Amino acid sequence: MTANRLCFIGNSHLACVKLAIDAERDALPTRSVDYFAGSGYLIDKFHVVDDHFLSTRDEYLLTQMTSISVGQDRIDMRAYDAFVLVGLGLEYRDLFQIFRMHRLHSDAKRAAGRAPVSDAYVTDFLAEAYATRAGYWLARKIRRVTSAPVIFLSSPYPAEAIISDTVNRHLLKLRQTSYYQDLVDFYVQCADSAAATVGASFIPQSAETQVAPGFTRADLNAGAVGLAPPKVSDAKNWHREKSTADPWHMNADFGRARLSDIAAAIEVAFGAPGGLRQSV
Amino acid sequence: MDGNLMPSFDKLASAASVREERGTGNSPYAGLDETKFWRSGVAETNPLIMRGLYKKRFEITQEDPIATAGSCFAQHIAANFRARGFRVIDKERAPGLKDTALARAYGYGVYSARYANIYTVRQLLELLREATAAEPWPVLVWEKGGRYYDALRPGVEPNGLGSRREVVAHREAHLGRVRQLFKQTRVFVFTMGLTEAWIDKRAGRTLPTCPGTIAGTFDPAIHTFKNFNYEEILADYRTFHAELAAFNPGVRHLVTVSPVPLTATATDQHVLVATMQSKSILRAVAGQLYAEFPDLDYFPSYEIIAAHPSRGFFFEGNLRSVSPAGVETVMRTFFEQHEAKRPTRAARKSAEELQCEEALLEAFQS
Repeated sequence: MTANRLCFIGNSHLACVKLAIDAERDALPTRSVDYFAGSGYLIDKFHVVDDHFLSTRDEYLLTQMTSISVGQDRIDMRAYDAFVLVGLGLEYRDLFQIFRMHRLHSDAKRAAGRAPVSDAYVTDFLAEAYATRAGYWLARKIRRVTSAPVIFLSSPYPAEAIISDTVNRHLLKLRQTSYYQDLVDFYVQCADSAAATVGASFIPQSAETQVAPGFTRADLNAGAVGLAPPKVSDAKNWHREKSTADPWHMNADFGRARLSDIAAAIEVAFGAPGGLRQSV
Repeated sequence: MDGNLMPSFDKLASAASVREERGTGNSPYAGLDETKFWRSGVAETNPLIMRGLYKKRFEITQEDPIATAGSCFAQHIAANFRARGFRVIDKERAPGLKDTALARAYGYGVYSARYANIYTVRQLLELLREATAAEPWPVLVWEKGGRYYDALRPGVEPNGLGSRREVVAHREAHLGRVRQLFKQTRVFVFTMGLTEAWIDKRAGRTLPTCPGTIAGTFDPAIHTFKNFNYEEILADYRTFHAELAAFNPGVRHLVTVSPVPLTATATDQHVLVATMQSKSILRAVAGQLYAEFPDLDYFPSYEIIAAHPSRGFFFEGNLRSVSPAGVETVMRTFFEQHEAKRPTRAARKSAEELQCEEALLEAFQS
């Protein structure tokens, strides 16, 4: 069984996925795909209208959304067989934020002045952080209207180039710590369990896109794309290339690599015993 | 007699009769303002707007680095200082979070460092000595269900830590921050909460909670009950005052007494009698400290909340927790004397999110 109508909702991280789908439409087992996107955390500004539409009064978001969706100014949550939420705060950056000043006790190389932080705190922190992010908020709204599967596609791990960036040099030390692999696995576990609380499934970033745990291959960052600002955005010019100094966004090749993950998640949701269709 | 003198005699007689109402002309009570008389100062005054309860002894400016510590009522003071734009030091910020309930549950942002509630002056003195010691002190670790807790602040890690070594590492890092705090503060705010405490005889440490409440196991051979008396508490604070001054000259102190009654007493007294004794001792100590040290101010939050003119209005239904109206009245009284910005919502929220280990004793009531 396949999803007849698939709805993508995302922020700037949707751009590389949409480019990949536009180029390789058959990669997804679905009859039609609609896209809705807005910069950053603007999707926080969605609200529910008439019980089943998601819409916004924010002009900036509305302009971007209608450009990408080719004219649709609201999302009819009842019209879709599955939702894929891309980016929207479903990201790894929170952990970096913590480890800018702190370390787990298990890090034998813990530098002087870095206060230790407990594993329990990190777990609770991530659960709280994800539960309040736009993606989870949207999933709860969708779940009130439909039992259609909701799939979370995380924001990419930063490109490896980030560790040579002056501002983010601390990440190099983080990558060298003894617990870093565990940390990445831990993030996936937290995101996965947070997704389950809203009846969604979480797709982690595949191993082949990573050069090391938690770092994306540099070639998938070259020519990274995001959304165009509303003043230039239209149906043809909805995206723009990012500066190479932006390690957080990826290119269409990365989007292509994610397509197989999305397709597999849809197969699971609609086909496999115990898939999402059965569980919601 | 000159008839012209009569009118002035009448005036004198009239003035004398007015003085008679307030006391005789040569009495030291004559001419005192209305706040010195019970009828005008209290009985005929709305307790919400009682005037002259507090006159600052020294200025606390928004630039002064302030450290806060004490029993759980002190959390209101810390939150309100912050919310009104004062520079409350925070040496242990919540990783990745601002002031959220989760951060507070882990002891972040509650006080100026993550030492949790400090109920007794002895506990405060021990913390200063441990943080400023040349050599590290042994760390007292409690275990519960395979998890490990810092016995001197067991509430800051609600799920405990993975090993004894991890507890030691966390305490070492914490004490480093506390040491910096004692070095940097210019105003030290302390709320005295309890006279009763449990002592670990083997370690020689005063505990914030009875072993077995959050973690640890009560062992009568190791853990003894101590109800500090007036002389002991006074001596402890004098020592604290002297040792802090030696470590960081010029620190000023602001002392308050928590109006929150005991959750439970380990004495053979009724809990009400034990509470009154405890609070009376702490109040008397505060008064003596105020008399001795010109660099120490006393703020009467205890009187505002607990004295009978407020008729218990400032307590919640359990007659123990202080209501938001009570906190608001206390803080308004304080900040009428210290120039402050308008309070933010954080101050109002703080009344609902106190971290009070002592209240956990209620669970032991059958």
